[in-house]
Amino acid sequence: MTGAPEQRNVKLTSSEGTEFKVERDVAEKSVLLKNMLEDVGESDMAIPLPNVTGPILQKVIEYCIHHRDDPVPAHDDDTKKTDDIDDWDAEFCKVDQGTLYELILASNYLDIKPLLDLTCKTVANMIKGKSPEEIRKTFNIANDFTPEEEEQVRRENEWCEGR
Amino acid sequence: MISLLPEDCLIDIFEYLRNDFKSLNSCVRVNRIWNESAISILWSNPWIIEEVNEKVKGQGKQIELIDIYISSLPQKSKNFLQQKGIVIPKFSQPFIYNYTSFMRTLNISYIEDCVWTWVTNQTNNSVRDFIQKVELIILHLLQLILKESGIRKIIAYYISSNKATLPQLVDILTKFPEFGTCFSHLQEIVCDSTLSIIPQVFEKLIPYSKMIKRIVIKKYEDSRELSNLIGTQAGLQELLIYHENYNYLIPFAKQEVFKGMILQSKNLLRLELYSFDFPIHTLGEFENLEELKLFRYGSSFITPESLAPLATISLKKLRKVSFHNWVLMHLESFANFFENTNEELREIVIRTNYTIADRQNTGKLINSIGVHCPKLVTLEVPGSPEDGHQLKTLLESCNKLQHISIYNINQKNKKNLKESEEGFNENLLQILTRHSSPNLNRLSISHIEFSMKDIESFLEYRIKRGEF
Repeated sequence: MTGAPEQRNVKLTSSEGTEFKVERDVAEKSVLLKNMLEDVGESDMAIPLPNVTGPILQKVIEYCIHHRDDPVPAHDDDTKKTDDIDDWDAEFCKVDQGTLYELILASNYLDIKPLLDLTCKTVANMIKGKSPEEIRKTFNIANDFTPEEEEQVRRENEWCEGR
Repeated sequence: MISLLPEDCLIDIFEYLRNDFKSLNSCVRVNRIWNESAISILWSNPWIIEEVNEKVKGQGKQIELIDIYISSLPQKSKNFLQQKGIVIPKFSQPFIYNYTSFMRTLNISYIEDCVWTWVTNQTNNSVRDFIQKVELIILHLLQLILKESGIRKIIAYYISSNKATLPQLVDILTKFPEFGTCFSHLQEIVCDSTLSIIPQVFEKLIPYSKMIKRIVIKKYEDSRELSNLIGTQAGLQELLIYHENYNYLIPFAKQEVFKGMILQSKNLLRLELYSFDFPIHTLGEFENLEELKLFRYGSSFITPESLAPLATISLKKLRKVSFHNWVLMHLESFANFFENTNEELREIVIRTNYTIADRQNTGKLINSIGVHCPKLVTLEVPGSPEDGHQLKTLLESCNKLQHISIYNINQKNKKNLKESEEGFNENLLQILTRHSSPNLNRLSISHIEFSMKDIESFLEYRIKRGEF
């Protein structure tokens, strides 16, 4: 940021022990890190993130740098839309399913709501309009219902079929 | 990998599919964990209206939905309904879930509609028999819903011809006050009905509902009960009150509801009032407003002097404002109003078909908006062909403008100035050609004539800049 007072870097360590240096305002996009930094105060100690791998942490930092100047959303909007992903974000989410899965877990753990929203929205868009079988195929999910259970679930939710 | 996501993340994903019944229905049928995570979202608001051409297909679905709720009734209720000649649907085994407990939206109108359709499918001896069955089923379903669920939103967009549902709701809450706790997390009431909501409904909600954020009343009838409900909320954010008789202006300051509204003046972020008259200085109390719409404000006694207090009102958080068809528009007062709005405004709409006290002040208004509202995105404003200089100021200041609509209120002067006063300023379109921002994507100018050459130049310039 131009004109901003010089800020200290924050050190983060991924699960494999790789160290990442980020500016404090970037790290503070994570509510978890923001609260930690406020509690600990100034420190040179690296913050260990045992739940996040290096490549995923790299992606998360890339996201936070791009969105560092975004305003904090004023109040929660009740109506969640899936068609408002901008070009950069859409490109950012063009990753394999494993990475998308890790990004959801990381943004959930680090408490970065806009990134969690974006990744969840991306998965929701992959689900939209698909049949149960197509969803299972897309995400490689095993069907653990017995045939009787499957029929009962179908029957009890019949009212919304084809709506 | 997605299959391994924990339940809370799955719920976050399914939230984006709320009201997309087709996708949610697929989700609950994928496997057990997806079923458990999506089921409560699917059943939170099953009351969605079909498109007209889907109506016949929708009726079958309504019957299937009511089948589930009627089968969920306590045995005592089922026996009672059976005695009244109602055939209770049969399911071979108990339901997997207590589906009623998932309901968060109580849509009075749609419940009536569904039950109506459901009873049509039964054997009915007479119209009276039919109506009696409808009322009985609604009564028992309402009891079930109030007992089992936690309602966040009440919707009533019309009341069917039997008009019995709301009195039934009131009766249940009178008889079983403990059921009222189902409204203790109520956040929203939307009454968009052809009949006004009976005040007893509001009265019954008051002891339980303190967290309402949004109240929309589109068939207004004044009552102390509605006023009390509005006034007793911990933090009402949105209040929209309309009444449909546009020709009858209600002296709002004398209304009970006005008192409740004033109690919420520091909390409200959004206020929309339609066809009401109240002292304009009252608006100053609503200092946290982000959105204000006043449709057809005023009375036959309104004068430019009575609008003058607009100049002293300071709504520093205002982001959107609409003034539509006031009984009397006074452009100078509007111009002064924008001086105190702290440069946060994104949208200004001033639309009028009625009397304007000072048609000569369009330029003053446009200039004030230009100077004081640099973050503007949408503008609809009266103008005149002489306002070129002020429009230029506005375009240079408000470089985020995407939509501009200017309508000429000095219609005897439709010609642009280039033709009428040789050598004078550029006309409005020439100014827009040279000074509008690349962000501009919608432009409307009404009742001003331009030459084809000017229109071609505008289009050519935009094409050259790659904006088409």
